[in-house]
Amino acid sequence: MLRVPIAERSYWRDRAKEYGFGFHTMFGQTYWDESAYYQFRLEQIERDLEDPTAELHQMCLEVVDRVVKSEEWLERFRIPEPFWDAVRQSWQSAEPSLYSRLDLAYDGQSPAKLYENNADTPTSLYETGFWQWLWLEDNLRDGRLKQGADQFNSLQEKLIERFAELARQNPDWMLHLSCSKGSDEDRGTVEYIGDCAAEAGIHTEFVHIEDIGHGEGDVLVDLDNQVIQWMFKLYPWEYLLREDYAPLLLKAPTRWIEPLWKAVLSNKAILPALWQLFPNHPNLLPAYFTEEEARKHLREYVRKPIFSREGAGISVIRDGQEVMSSPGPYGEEGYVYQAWHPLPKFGNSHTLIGSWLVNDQPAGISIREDQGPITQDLSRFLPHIILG
Amino acid sequence: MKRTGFINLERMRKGLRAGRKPVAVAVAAALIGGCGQTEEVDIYTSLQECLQKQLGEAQMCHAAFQEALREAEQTAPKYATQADCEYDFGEQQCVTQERQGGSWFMPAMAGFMMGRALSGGDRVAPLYQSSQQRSPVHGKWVTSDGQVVANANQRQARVSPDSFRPKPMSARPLSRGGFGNQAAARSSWGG
Repeated sequence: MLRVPIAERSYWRDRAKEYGFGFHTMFGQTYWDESAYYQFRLEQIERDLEDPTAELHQMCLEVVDRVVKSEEWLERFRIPEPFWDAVRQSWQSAEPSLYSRLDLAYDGQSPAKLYENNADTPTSLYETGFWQWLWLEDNLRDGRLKQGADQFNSLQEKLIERFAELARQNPDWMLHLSCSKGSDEDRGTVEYIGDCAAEAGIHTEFVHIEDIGHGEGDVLVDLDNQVIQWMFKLYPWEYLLREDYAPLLLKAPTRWIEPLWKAVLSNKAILPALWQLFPNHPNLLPAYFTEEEARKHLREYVRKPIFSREGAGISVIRDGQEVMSSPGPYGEEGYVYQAWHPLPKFGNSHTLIGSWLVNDQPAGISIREDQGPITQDLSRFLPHIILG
Repeated sequence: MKRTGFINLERMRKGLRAGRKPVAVAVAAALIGGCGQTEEVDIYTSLQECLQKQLGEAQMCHAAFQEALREAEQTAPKYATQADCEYDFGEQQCVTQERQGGSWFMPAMAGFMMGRALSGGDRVAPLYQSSQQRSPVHGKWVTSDGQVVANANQRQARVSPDSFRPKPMSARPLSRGGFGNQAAARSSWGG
């Protein structure tokens, strides 16, 4: 695993315009960075990332199976009690999932360690599935990269296949797509999901989360008052379950992507739960529900809010002292404690790997770099290749 | 190969694409002719017209008409006010639907289409017309979800089998805005 500088495509900004990639620069900072790429050997990809990703995902599903059967666990996962039955039903009826992203710390040699599971609303999907793919194809064509260079990235192909599979199960369903207002990045991600669904022959409509209505007969409706029967929402379950329409979720016939059982997976409580079920697994970091336990076992640990995103609201604690933290509006639902395992450094950059799954199949990786050791939402996205 | 083998770049290209539809009625991509399968349909403006043209098929016409009406009631675009409905469909084109809790407005069914193919005409869909000059569907036959199937003077057409897809149902909104406040309370939350 190497970090290799490369010349940017002189025309990449035009390309971005052509393909509607509008959020390559955010808040005045570079987000898409093609001044370098990461290079892996095939063995590193398959043995160290792809296989562990599949295995970690299965382990997470085992946790879900435990959690939905136990009120104590549902409580620990901060699932609001009115939804316990619904979460259980969603899991036991095997409501289909679409995708998720595991965040891994990996240095090219030692086993990848699971940081967290973004199983409900993972973003950076477009950049991964399409944009870095295009970067590779362009560079192969232009001769800046060696013929034979490949990429661990079958994300778009697999998303389309998955949608085609779902469309076969429900041939006439229309899919509504939704995210909240005010984020180009979210809108871009949702539009990409829509492109993949359309490629699989699914008719889609868009509605902002804030514009959803309560229709007569306890249904959810879009701005045209069309009943929402099937919805992809880039909006977390932990919010939906705590908002004004939450009780309506139990009555409305809408089918969801991601399904409700993902509320269990995309929750930091999964980390100590995994450690309990699979202690000392090479791809897990020790993690605990309480600070007392963490102190007992660990000199350095990270305190993570049960619900947090993009590295917000995290503190690093060493010998009882907070030595580093990131701001964030999270924490009211409690915290979990995970062993401090700093990201590997390549040059000046701390590097985090996002490992994607479509349903239960590993589907590729994305790479984020940050100047600091806690990856946040403005971390840069770099492409990668497989060679040798 | 560990990467996607083929991507339909045309679909991914965004520059030339039109924006999202602004109102309930939008013209869907042209369906007549073009690629893919098509199905021949007869268009009738009334039950009478069907009975006159389909001698000896009275039962079929009655059944088709009833089914079209039933589907129109469920799937026709719904509006909160008569003015909104008439904005899209023109004066005197809209009817009221009473439900517990209030009334709403939808375009009156102006006709229906029936598939001529294989299945003996059991595929039926309600159709609408707009007398509103500036409407994009003025002078056309249009389905509940805004697909244009023919010009208003036509009585036969070739349509995509999609035109018969069950349409998403409409429901009168009682309120809006019950989702989204948690995101508003936090500046960033994506994953």
